[in-house]
Amino acid sequence: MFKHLKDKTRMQLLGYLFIAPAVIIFILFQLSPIILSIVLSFTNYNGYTFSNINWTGLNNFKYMFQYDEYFFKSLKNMGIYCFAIIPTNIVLSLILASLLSKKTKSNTLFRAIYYIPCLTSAIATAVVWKYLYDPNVGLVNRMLATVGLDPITLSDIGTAKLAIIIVTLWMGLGGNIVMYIAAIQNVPDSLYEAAKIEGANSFQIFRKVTIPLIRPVTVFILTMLLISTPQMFEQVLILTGINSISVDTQTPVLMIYNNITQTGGLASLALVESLVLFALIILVTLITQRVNKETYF
Amino acid sequence: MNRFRKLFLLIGLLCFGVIISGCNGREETPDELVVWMGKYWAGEGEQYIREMMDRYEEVSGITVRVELQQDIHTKLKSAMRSGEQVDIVIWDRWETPEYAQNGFFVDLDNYLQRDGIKKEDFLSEAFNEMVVNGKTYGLPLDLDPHGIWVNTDAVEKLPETWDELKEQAIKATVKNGDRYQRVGLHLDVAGYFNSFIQTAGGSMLKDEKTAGFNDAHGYAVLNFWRDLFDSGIYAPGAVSGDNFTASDPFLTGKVAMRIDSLLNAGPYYSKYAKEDFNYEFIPFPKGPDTYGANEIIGNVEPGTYSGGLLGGYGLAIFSQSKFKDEAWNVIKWWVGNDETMMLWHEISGFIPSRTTIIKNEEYRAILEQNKNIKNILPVIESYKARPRANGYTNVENAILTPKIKALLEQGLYDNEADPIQACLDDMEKAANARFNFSGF
Repeated sequence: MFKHLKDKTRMQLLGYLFIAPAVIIFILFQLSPIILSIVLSFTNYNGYTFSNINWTGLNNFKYMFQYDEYFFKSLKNMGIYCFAIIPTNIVLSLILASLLSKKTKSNTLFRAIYYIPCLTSAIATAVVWKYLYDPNVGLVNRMLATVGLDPITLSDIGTAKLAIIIVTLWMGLGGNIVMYIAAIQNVPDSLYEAAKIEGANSFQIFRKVTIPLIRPVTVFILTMLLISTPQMFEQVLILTGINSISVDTQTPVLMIYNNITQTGGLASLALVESLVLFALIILVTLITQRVNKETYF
Repeated sequence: MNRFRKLFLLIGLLCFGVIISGCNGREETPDELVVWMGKYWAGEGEQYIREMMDRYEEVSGITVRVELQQDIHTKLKSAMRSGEQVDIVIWDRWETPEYAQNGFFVDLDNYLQRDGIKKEDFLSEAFNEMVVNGKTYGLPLDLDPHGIWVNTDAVEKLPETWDELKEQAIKATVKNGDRYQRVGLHLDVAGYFNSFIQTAGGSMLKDEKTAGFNDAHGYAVLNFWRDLFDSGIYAPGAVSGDNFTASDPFLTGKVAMRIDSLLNAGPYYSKYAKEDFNYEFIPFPKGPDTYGANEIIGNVEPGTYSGGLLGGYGLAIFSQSKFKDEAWNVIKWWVGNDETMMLWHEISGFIPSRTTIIKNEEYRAILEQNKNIKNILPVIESYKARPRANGYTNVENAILTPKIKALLEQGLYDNEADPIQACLDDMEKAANARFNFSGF
């Protein structure tokens, strides 16, 4: 069929043929919904039907900026979660990875233990944690009570956020620990030996040798956390739910989900909200990559 | 190459088979109908529905498969697009306008006319919830009054007015230092603004696009609630325990009075309450005496504004159903006559939606034997359903309740000269904007 074509052209065609399935899937299931979302956010699309759709221009955007105060509250919640979770996650993963990086039998077991939360469904994890936080029979609150501390209550605004942060950290550490362990093990032993000969102690070696050399992994983890943390969903849904009471813990994704599925008529508002969140995540990711440009080049 | 051709042919045939089997799973003649209901029916409620449908199978020979949907909104939307077959939907009546206008349900007027089923046979508040733009999209299955569940061992007298409610709540509250041993009234305000507005003689909306609660009635409600909070009968997070289980704080005596609906709480309290636990379910007390609304209401007969919010479910036919006539036969059998409605009451303990039952002395005597509904029946006709307006559900859940909680629990309006009025103004502005949002 392609015999009349030159070898180079034929090879190029073959290459396109190989990537075609992935490109088609991308266009159908990722690019098209994004484009459709952008278009529908300028209409009165109500989430039920595509008939009777009218162009409303910037009205939905105006409404969001003027009246959608709980979406902005959810963005604020998201900011609090990000500030609490991202640095803590990176620091804890790094510390635990450095402890687990030596190849011993006990470390193999501990690595598996720390990785288990990553293999568990987020919904199942959150349900278990909900029981752990129970004010009467929950293990967490019983332990806190034995040391005279106040309980963590999911109905209390202050402690509910803390509860969500703890669960998110617990769920997210395992994967990052594995990446850090791999990065630490890839640091050449000769550098550690040279540092020892120069008289550096363990902390100095960790600070001056390990951390700089695993920086690309740190930047990667940071970027992934900056993308995933603003999209927190399952743990918030299970722990504090979608209702009017949970506006103080609600995340933007949860609010978007609620507007598009539970409430008729707000689909176009949900699309506007998702575009704003999309733009924010892209902006933060670009800034991070710009700041860490030298890591890649 | 020949081998490859055979392989492709085989795969093609398999795909064709899968598509064909996926496209048409049901035959044209029904020997089975499908009913969907939302997660609120999980547990006891689901059993009641199953039992009713078993009875229908006995009389008709047609099996009705009952399916509980955790997220019925999403499920219905996807069924609408994918053509998934469901025949009858047990539908939360207050959400009818948005779904009916978007073609989810069948207009039943021709069926009603053909079979001589009159709207006057049903309580008008319940029936009208399923009427949109003059068309009837379902028939009411039950009357679900909201009210107050009272632990009569903890409360001296069943409150009949707002003042008595406050007085009894204060007396029933037991504290040990800062910790509550028993909360007088579990004042979780979600959704109950509407009920209190009604007992104050006010209304939630002026018209479909305009909020109507920013007046003296609304002010009286928030003023009363603030007063309740200040009197220390409740604090957020003061009690724990899973509602509607054996550890429900009402059943374990940690709450003297709690607000909920008959359908939500009734089956569970009937099941889990021990013999030595005494309780009553009462309508919202008549208000208000001392919160500035005497001037609004004037001299009215006692009980006029007792009552509250009327919720409940309806039976609707899904517009994609292939067996609409057969689905109608189920609805007609279930709610179209007094005998089967009384059977439904006997199974579920819920209040039948037919006025032909409520106003019939013989039936009424039977209903009054049910302790969960005997106090409600005298004022059931004063109960009001939620307004029929696109976006009302969202306004109540996503705007009014968080703002009221911000006023009462978080003190967000405390810096204003008049915090209550500031909260009402804020609620009105946000509600009107939402009602006029382009999607509604």
